[in-house]
Amino acid sequence: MFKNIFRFLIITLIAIALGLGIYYLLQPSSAATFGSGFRDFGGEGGFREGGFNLTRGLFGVTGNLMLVAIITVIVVSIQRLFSRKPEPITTH
Amino acid sequence: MKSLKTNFWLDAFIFAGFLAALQPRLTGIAIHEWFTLAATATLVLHIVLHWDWAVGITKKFFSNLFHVSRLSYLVDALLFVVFTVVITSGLVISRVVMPTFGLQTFSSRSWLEIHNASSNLTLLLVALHFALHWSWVKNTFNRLILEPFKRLLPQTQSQPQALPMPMKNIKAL
Repeated sequence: MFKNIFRFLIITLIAIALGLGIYYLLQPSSAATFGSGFRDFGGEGGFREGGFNLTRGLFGVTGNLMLVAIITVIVVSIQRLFSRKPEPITTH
Repeated sequence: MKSLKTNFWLDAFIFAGFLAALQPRLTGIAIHEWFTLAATATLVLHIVLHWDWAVGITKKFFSNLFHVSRLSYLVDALLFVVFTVVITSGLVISRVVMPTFGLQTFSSRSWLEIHNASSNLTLLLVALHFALHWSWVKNTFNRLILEPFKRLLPQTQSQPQALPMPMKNIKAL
């Protein structure tokens, strides 16, 4: 139990450190825009639906779910195609 | 069996939550922010539950190892980094969570673009992660959901059928 809590904390700390690193790399402290070397689009942002949904709201989930299903079918098919097949036993 | 059940239901919950999190218009911006922040803990828990696998593959990564495991490891590592980018950029442009704690956020288009691009990439990586673990998903779904459901259905008792007479017995007649 304590081992799992310790692991949980370690992973969280790594994620926080990585997040802070990315943040300060892109936008140095006390600046409102990106640091030099990174393109800043400028202007304010609204919010958008994520993923590849076909419509908004609840039906938007189905678009992303379909994408997951398509990728799964492709990957599983490729795995089956290249998996080692047992050689047929021949008798003479 | 207990750990298999925990893994399966936690994974199903994370997957459904992830699909909902990609739709801020469906949930509303406040739920989108609080929910995804809380869901981060379940993602970390997912890694903790698969700790032995992660450590085992890390040790064997450069030795002779089946390719799918290596690909799966790379996808998972990339997923961890991209999820961190999603959460970081989400917190930077947060309108509800961060202001609640009195922290200043930026209504920046650049951070929004990063948030959108990384969340779209996350979807592709989650799909790949799901596909690479498809046999586990299928087997666990059968074991935890289909088989108990089949056991609930009334079983039809089939009448014993007469066995066909062997050919040598026919010849003897």
